[in-house]
Amino acid sequence: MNIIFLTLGVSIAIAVSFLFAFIWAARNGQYDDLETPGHRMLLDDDDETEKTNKNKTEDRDS
Amino acid sequence: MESSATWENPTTCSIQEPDGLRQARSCAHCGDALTASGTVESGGRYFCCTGCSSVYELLHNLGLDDFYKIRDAQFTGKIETPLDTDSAESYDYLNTQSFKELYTREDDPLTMNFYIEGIHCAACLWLLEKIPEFAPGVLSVSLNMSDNTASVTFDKPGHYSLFPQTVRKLGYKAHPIKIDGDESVRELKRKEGRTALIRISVAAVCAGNIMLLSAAIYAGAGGLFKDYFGLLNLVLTIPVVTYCAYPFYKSVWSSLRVKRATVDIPVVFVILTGFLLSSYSYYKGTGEVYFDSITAFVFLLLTSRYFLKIVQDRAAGTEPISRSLFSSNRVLIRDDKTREYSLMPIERLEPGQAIKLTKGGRIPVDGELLSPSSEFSLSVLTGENIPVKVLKGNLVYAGSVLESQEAVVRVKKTGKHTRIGEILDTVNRNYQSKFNFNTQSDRYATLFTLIVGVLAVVSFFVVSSLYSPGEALKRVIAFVLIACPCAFIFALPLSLGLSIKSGVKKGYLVKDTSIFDKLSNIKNVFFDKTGTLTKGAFKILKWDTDALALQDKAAVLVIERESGHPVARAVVSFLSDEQLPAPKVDEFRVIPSKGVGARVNGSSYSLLSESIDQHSDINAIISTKIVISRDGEPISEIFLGDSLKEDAKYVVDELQHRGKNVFILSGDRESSVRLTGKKLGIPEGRLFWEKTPEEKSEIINIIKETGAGHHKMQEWGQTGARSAIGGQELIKGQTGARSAIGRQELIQTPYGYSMMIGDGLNDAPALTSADAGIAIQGSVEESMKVSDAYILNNDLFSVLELINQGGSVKYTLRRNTVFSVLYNLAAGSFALLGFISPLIAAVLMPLSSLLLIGSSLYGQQNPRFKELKARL
Repeated sequence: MNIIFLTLGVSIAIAVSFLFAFIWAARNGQYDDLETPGHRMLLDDDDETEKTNKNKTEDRDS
Repeated sequence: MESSATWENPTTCSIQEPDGLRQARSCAHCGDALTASGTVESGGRYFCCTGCSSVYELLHNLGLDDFYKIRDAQFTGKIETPLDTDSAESYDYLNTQSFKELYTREDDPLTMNFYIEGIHCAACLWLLEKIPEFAPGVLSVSLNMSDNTASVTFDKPGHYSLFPQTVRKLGYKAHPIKIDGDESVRELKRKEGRTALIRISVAAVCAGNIMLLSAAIYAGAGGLFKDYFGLLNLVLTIPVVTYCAYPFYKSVWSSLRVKRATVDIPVVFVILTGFLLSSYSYYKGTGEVYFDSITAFVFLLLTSRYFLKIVQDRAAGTEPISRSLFSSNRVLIRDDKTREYSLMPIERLEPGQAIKLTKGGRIPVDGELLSPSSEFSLSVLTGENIPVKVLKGNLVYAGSVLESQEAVVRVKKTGKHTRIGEILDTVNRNYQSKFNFNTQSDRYATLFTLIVGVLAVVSFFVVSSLYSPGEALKRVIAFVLIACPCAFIFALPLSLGLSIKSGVKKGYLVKDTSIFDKLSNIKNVFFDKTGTLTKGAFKILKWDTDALALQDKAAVLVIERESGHPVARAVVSFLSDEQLPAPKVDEFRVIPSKGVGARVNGSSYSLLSESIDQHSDINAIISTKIVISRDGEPISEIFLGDSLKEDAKYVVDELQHRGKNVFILSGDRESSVRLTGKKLGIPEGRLFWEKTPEEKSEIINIIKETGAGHHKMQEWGQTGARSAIGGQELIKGQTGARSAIGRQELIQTPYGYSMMIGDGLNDAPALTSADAGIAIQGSVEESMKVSDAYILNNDLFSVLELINQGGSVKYTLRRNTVFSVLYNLAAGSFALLGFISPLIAAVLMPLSSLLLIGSSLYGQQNPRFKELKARL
């Protein structure tokens, strides 16, 4: 049953590593603005099509 | 009567509709409904104004048409028409040294922060962050949509003006944000928020693991497992009771120093006794261990406090009011030696300096006019749009807008010492005290804490004398865990926060949540007139132009172009779409306080104002009638004035039907106010006219006091007199005596809260004096600082909805309170009698919280007045 202590150690290590990841993210300000990134993420796809569109128009222009 | 068609739709008088217009009924940029008179056609598309068309063109040329695609997908509301896209405003001043010092950090001179006006959806975000792609000099733009600020980096210090200029072309407006004070406060808040999150995360990790380990112990793990798991629990609890629980210790410590009870006292009691008792039990190897209960408790509590804080922060705006009033941050200052003007930041203005203003500029100071005579609009102070003439040497007040071409003013008072500055200062103080006002529920919570504390101590002694101290402690911990009012505290901000959110959907922003407590008990409702009950625009209401010959129209147009009077402006803009010849004007003369006359094409024309016989149209508030005569023969009549909003009558009727007293407080003339009152069916005694902002506030205060049962006849007389003095300054006096008409009415007003609905700035003192201040127009940022709620859609109907929501919030809160009290009484007494162990208590507590949250969420589902809306 000693394996339980190992799994316990591993699980706590994982928990702590996630905790540190979270603390790092929070300190970096990733939770300061919860609104904008959500919108920004949605825009990325359009971004690509927009660029190709833009290239197309530029081609046409030239 | 003779021209009912023109009357109903004055804008379609004699212009041909362009063909494509029938398909395109709304503006291609902002989606506004198009009117025949203002429509601009460009490249086969139709726009409501040149602003919209130039933004559209710019976006199209830059290949940014996707803006519309994204906007249509993301945003269902209406975007605002672009803010002065073609104004000649230059931002070059930002590049000078004195501005650079104010707006950038010394260690990071390439970053400047801007507040962006006009942001509404993801399309704006997309567009603004694209700026670096087409504006050389701007390296990056990072927009924060939750507070509408953008952090912008530039390639070198002299390029700051590039960003605001580009933004303006796109139809938004960027205001640079000063680096000092506000910025560091914001930074501090941000850090606080981050720390709170980290505390929650630590508590969550520890509590989660402790629960797992405890489950094993409860399931019967014994021997070595029990020992080690217990040890691990103890180790995991330490960061929770030290680091995570630190805010509670701090709050108890500071409240003890001022000798006040706080809800944190039982919290700290539970955490500390629970931890010490459990550690002792673990050490001894016998007795109860509560590590799981304590950590879960701390985690839940921290989470609820975090939400509470978010709600509160949203309520308290941190920006100083005056900054947003003077959105312009610089002014032309005259150097007295060289007599040359240079741009300086407003903050550096000092009394004695001379400043120059151009048309449309807002004066940042109280000062003496040095120019011969100029026209100023005092709308900030009086709410009325008609400009007032100021003569050389007279005082002009900060906030007034220059209507003449140019004026030079000698600075007398600046900043806080100006008249508007003082008003805003009072507003700030009122607001502070209002914000600190404990809502009913807060007071219950404090009372609750005290009762719990006393009960806990008493029962500890009773139980320990009957059984043993150990048993007593166990029961008391269970009792405090169960009875902790945190469920209650959690539910309160939640239901208020949800109400705020749903308010936004319905078209109003609520700042001060204590307004919900009062809304259901409103007795007196005060309306501002201009811009609140009426549309606030002085324009032509009726003019039968079809009956006029073309040459007469042309003559009227050229004559009125000579005059700068508001009437003339209205006439000129009314005729501006017609293709009219421009004959020469001879012998132009102004007939003082009557009108103008001139000779055109050999005929003598005169445009004179005459007394008004009131028109019967339901919404028109005619204030001026102009008779046009040719060679002494009257040929046409123009009616000018304001008109009531479409829903004004309905809303006033509904309010009166519900037994509320409706008043009008206006800065306008007696005749207009009387007429408005008559059309809306408001009794004579409840109309107040020619009132300054200060007087409006006093009237509300007096009605509040008399309404509360103190008959202060004498004091009323005094304040009336005082008001008259205040009135003298701005408009002609005679106010005090007339206000007395309202006296009889006031004394009889029964007790109840008062609500003021008005314009954000010029009604600021009145809005803060009233128990519930609601702003209905003006810039959102300005109004939110002085009012409890702001109506976004300029729709009076939202006032009714707001009152209804107040009722439903109050109902939800009451239901939560009743549930809380019953639950606490029952569970608390069971705990004290020893039927509930601390573990069950720790489970019951979050369960009751969940129930209350559910109840709060359910509270949002209450009927939304659909039926009434349908009747409109």
